[in-house]
Amino acid sequence: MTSQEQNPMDDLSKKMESQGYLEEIRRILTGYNRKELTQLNKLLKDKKAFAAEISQLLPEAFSQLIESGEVNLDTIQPLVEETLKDSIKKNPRTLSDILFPIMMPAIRKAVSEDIKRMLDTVNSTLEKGFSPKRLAWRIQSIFSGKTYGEIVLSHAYIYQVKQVFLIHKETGLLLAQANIDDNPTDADLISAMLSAIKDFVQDSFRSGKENLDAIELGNFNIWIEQGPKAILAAIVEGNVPQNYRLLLKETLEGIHIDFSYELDNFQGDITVFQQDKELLNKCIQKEKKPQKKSKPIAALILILIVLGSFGYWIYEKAIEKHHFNQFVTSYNNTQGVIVTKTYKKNGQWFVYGLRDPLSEKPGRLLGSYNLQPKKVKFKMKPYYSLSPIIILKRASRKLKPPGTIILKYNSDTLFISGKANKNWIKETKLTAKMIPGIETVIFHTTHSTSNRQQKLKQKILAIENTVFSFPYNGFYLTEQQQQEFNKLIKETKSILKFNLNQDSIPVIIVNSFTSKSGNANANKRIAQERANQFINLMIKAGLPPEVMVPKVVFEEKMKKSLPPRSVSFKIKYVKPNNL
Amino acid sequence: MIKKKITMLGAFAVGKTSLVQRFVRSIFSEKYHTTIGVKIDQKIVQIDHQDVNLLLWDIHGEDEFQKVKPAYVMGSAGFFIVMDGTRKNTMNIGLDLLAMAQKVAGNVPFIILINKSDLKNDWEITDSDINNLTNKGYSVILTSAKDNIEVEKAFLTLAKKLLN
Repeated sequence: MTSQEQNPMDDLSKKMESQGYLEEIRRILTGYNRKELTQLNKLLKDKKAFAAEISQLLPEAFSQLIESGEVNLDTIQPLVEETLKDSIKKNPRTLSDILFPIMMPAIRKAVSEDIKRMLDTVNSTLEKGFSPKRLAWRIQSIFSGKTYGEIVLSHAYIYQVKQVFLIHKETGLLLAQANIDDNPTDADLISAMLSAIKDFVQDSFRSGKENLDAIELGNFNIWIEQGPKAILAAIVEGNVPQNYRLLLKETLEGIHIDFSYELDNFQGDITVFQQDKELLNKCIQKEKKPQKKSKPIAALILILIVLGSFGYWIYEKAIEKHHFNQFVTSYNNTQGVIVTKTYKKNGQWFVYGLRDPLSEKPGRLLGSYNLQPKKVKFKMKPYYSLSPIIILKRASRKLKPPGTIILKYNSDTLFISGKANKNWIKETKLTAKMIPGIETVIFHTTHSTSNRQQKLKQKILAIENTVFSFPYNGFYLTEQQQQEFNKLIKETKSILKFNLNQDSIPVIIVNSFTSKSGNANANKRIAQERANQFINLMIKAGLPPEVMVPKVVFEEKMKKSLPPRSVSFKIKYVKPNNL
Repeated sequence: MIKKKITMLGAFAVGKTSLVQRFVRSIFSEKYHTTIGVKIDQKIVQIDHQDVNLLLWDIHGEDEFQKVKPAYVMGSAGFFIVMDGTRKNTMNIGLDLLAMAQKVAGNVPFIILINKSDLKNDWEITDSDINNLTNKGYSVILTSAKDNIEVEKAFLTLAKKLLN
C-alpha cells in the first residue's frame, strides 16, 4: 500500500485528536468509569502488579477450567514431569535437600515395615526349633512383651557407643559431641580428620552418590550418617544393631529441621549447638548381653568358709557323738565292764561304771571308733567280774599254767587238762578253788618231763644212735670215728652227771654186733673182745668202768640191720643194787 | 566458642607443615617429611578477647603428580598460600592454588606467606615479584618457620580477618 492509498479513517482520527474532539468523545462514551479505566491501563502496563492480581485468580480459574473439562490434567502432567526432570538434571542436590526431611521418614517407615516382616519370618522359623535356651527366651518373650524374634536378636547384641560427633559437613568443624564417659578425646581433630577422610574417599572414588557409611578401626567402628548440612559420626564398639543407624538418621533429621537456619548460615559459632545438652545424648547407647550379676566373690567365699566350717564342726560333733555311742555300746558289751553313766562336759566325755581289772583296756577300742583317748575320761570302779572269759583270765593269771596245760571254764567249774609237773599240779589243786568264780576244779593232767629231762633224753637218743663200724679183723678208730668217739664220751659224761631219778643210775651197755653165720662162738668171742676193747677206750677217756657193760648181740636177733663188726650203745637206768 | 577452618595450600616442601608446627607446638625440625593427604592441627587463639579455635588443615603439597583435592578446601573460613622464596616456581603453583581455593571456598580471607626468609640471600622470588602480588591487593607476609619469623603474626592476622 502506498501513502496515497492511506485509510480516510486515520486522517479523520488525526484531525479530531489535534482539535481535542476525540478526547471529548471518549469522555462522553466512558463517563464515570474513566478513572477505573486509567487504573486498569496502569495495571496492565505494570507486569509485577498485573501478575500479583492474576495470581489471585489463577487457582480458582484453573480449578474451573479443569472442572469444565477445558483443561485436561493429562495434558499438564507431562509438562510438569518434564520441568521436574529438567530441574533435577540441572541441580539434583537442591531437590534432594528439599526432599530430605520428607523422604527419610517415608523410607524409614518402609524399612521398618520390612524389618517387621522379617521378624515375623524369623518368629515362624524359630518357633519350629527347640532347645532349653530357646525355651528360656520364649518365657522371656512372654514376660517382656517383646516378640520372640526380638528376644532372639537381642541376645546377639553386645555393643556400646562411646562417642558421637555432630560435624558441619562443609567445614568439617565439630558442632557438638557426646561421650559415654567424662573422658573426651580431641574431638575437634577427630571430626576434622573424619571429614577429610570422607572427602578423600568420595573424591578419590569419584562417587557423588555413594556416601562413606562406616570406617573400621580395630575394635572400633565409626558409623557415619550424612545429611545435607551435617554429619553424625558415632564411634561404636561391638555388635551394634542395625536399628541404631535408624536412630542416627532420626537424630540427624531432627537436627536438620531444628537447626536448619544455623546450619545454612554456619560461620564457626557452635554455641547454639552446644546449648542443647540433649542433642546427641540419646545416641550414646550401650547394650550388653544380660550378664549374671557380679557376685561378691570374697564375701561368698567367706560365707562358704564359715558355713563350711560350721557345718564341718556340726558334722564332726555328730560323728563324734555317734562314734562315742557306738563305743559305749561296744565297751558295755566287753566282758568285765559295766557302763552305768555317760555324759559330756566342756567337750570332754565321761564314762562311769564298773570294770574288772582283767577286762580289756578301752584304748584300743577308742581307736577303732576314731575317738581320741584324751577326750574320754573313765571313772570306773574295780570289781570282780564273773564272766567266764574274765574268770578264765583270772585263773590263768593266778595259776600261771605251763604251755602244755589247757584251762576251760564252764558253770563254775575250771577244767585243767594237759601235762604239767607235779609241783604245779600240786599247788594248783590248792589255789584254784580260791579264785573268785571257781567252785570246782577238775584235773585231766599227766606229769610232764622237765626241759632238763627232755635234754637228757635227747642226749641218750643221740648216744644210742651212735654206731662205730670196724674192718674185718681190725679194731681201730678212723679220724672221723675218733671225733664221733670224743663226742660220745662228752655226751656220756654229761648223762652221768645228771640224776634223773635218785633211785637209779645210768648204765651204758656197749653192744657189739656179730653174725651167727660161720662159727658163731668164734664170732661171739671176737665180738665180746671188740666190746671190751671199746669199753677200755671209754675208760681211758675218763668214764667210770662200773657203769659200762659189754654185750654181744647177734645180727639175726636185731629188728633193724646194723653193719657187722659194729658197736652201738644203750643207756639204761638201774637201781644201784642191780648193778 | 568460634571455630574456623584454615587451609594451608602451597607447592610441596614450601614449609606448610613447618609453619603449622611452629605455630601450634613452637617446634621446628630440619627433617623433611612429606605430607600425605591431610594433617590437621588446632590451636585456640584469643582475638579481641574472644577464643577462636583454629582448625588447621595442612594439605599435602601440590606438584605435577599430586593435585590438591578441592574437597579439602571446601568450607575453609580462610587459607594460606605458602610459597618458598628460594623456588620461584612455587609462586606460580601458589597462584594456581589461590585461584582454585577462591573458586571452591569463595571470597574468603587469605594471606600469601613467602616462607624461608632465613635464606633470604638464596631467594629467587624478588621484591618485584612481591610488589606485583601486593599490587593485586594480596596480603603478603615473609615468614621463617625455622627462625620463627612472623609466623604467629601471620596466623593471628588471618584469624582477625576471619572474624571481621
